[in-house]
Amino acid sequence: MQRQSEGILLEIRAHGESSCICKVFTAEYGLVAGLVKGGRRKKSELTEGNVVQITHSRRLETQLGSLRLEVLSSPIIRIFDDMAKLQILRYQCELMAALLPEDMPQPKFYDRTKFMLETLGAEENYWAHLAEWELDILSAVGFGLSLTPENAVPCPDNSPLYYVSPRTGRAVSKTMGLPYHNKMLLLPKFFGGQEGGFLDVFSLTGHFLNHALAELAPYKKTLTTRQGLIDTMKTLT
Amino acid sequence: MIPEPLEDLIRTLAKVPGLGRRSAQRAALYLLTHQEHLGKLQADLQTVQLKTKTCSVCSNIAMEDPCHICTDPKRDDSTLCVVEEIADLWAIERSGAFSGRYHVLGGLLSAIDGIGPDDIGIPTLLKRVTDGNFAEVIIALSAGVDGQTTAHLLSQKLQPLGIKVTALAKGLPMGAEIDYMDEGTLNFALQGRKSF
Repeated sequence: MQRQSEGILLEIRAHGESSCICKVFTAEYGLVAGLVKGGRRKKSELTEGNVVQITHSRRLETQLGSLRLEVLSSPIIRIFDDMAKLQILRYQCELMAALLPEDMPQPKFYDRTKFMLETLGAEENYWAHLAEWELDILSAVGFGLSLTPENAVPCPDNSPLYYVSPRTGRAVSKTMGLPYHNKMLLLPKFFGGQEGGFLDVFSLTGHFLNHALAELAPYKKTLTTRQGLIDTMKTLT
Repeated sequence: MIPEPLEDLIRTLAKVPGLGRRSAQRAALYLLTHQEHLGKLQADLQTVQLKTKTCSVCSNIAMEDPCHICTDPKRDDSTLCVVEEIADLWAIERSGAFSGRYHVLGGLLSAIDGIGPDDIGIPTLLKRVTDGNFAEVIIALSAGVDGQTTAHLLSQKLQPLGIKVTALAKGLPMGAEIDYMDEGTLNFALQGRKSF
C-alpha cells in the first residue's frame, strides 16, 4: 500500500546508525509515522517544521512502513535567528507529534497550522496566533473549549462571560461562576472575557493541554518546552 | 557453533558505531587470524583506557589534565570556541584557523531526548567565562534546530556578562554547485554574502 501526501515534518528520532523514524502531519491522512532509510545523513532536509511531500509505503496497515520525503519548503529558514519563534515552531511540532492521532485526517487544522508556520517569520502578533492555535489543536484532539456566548453555559441575567469551567471547558458568567470562584479558570479578555492578559490566556489553554498530555507519559516533557516558551514570552512582553 | 569467547567479542564489537553484527564477525575473525594486530589492539586499548583523561577545564580528551590546548601558552586567551563534541574540536583544530581555547558541551539541548541546560556543559561554561578574561565566545554548534536553540540560550546567558558572542557563518560549502543546494543553505548564503 502506498500513500502520497503533503505534510509537515514533526519529529525525527534516530533509528540505528543511519536511519530515523519520522512523524509527519499530512493533509490527507493526519499523522503518519515511518522509517526513513539513510535519514540521518540528510540532516539538512530532515528538520522539524519543514513542509514535505511524502510517499509512505507499507504492506500491512499494522506495519510502520517506510517514508520517502521531499522538501517543499522550509519555514525554519525565516525564523532561525529569532529565539521566540524558533521555540514556537519546536513547541508546535512537539505538541502535534504528541497529541494528534495517527491516520485521522484533519484538513482544516492542517491548513491552519501550515499557514501559521509559513507566516511565522513575518508575523508580529505571534503570541496571539499561538494562543488561537492552541485552542485549535485542543479542538482537533477532542478537548474543544466552548468560549463563545452561543456555546457557553446559559446565564439568566445575560451578564458577560467571565469564567471557564476547568472540567467541561465551557465559559460561564460571573454571577453563575462566583460560588465556585476558587475552582474556576479566568476567561481572558483575548478570548472574550472581561480581564486578564496573555499569561491568563496560556494558563487557560495550559490547563487543558495538561489534561490532554497527562496520559502520554513520553510526551510530558512537552509541557517543559511550553513553560520555556512562556518564560521567553514573559521576558519579551 | 561459534565458541563462547569469540561470540562475546563479536557482541562487544557489534556495539561499536559503524559495525553491525556481520562486520563485527569479520573484524573478530581478522583479528584472530592476524595475531600481531590483535596484540597491538589489545595494548592500544589498554593504553587508551589507562592514560587518557577528560580535561577538567574544557572536557577535551587528552593524556593530561588540563589538556595540552588549555595549558598551551601560545594560544589566544581572549577567545573561546564552544563546540558540541570532541570530534568538532578536532575538526576545527584540523582546519588550523583557530588558535584560542575550547569548551566542549558534550551535547545539545533537546526536548525530545529530555536534555536540558544542566545535562550538558552549560553551567561549567558560564562559570569559566565569568571567572576568565574572554573577550569573545564563538558558538560553533551544528546548524540544526537543536544547535540553534542551544546557541540562542548560550547567547542569552553570555551577553549580559558583557562578552562578544559570535556564531559560525552558514552558507555554501567549498566546491558546492548552486543548483544542488537546498533552499535553506542558499538562503543563509545570500543573507551572509560578503563584498569582494
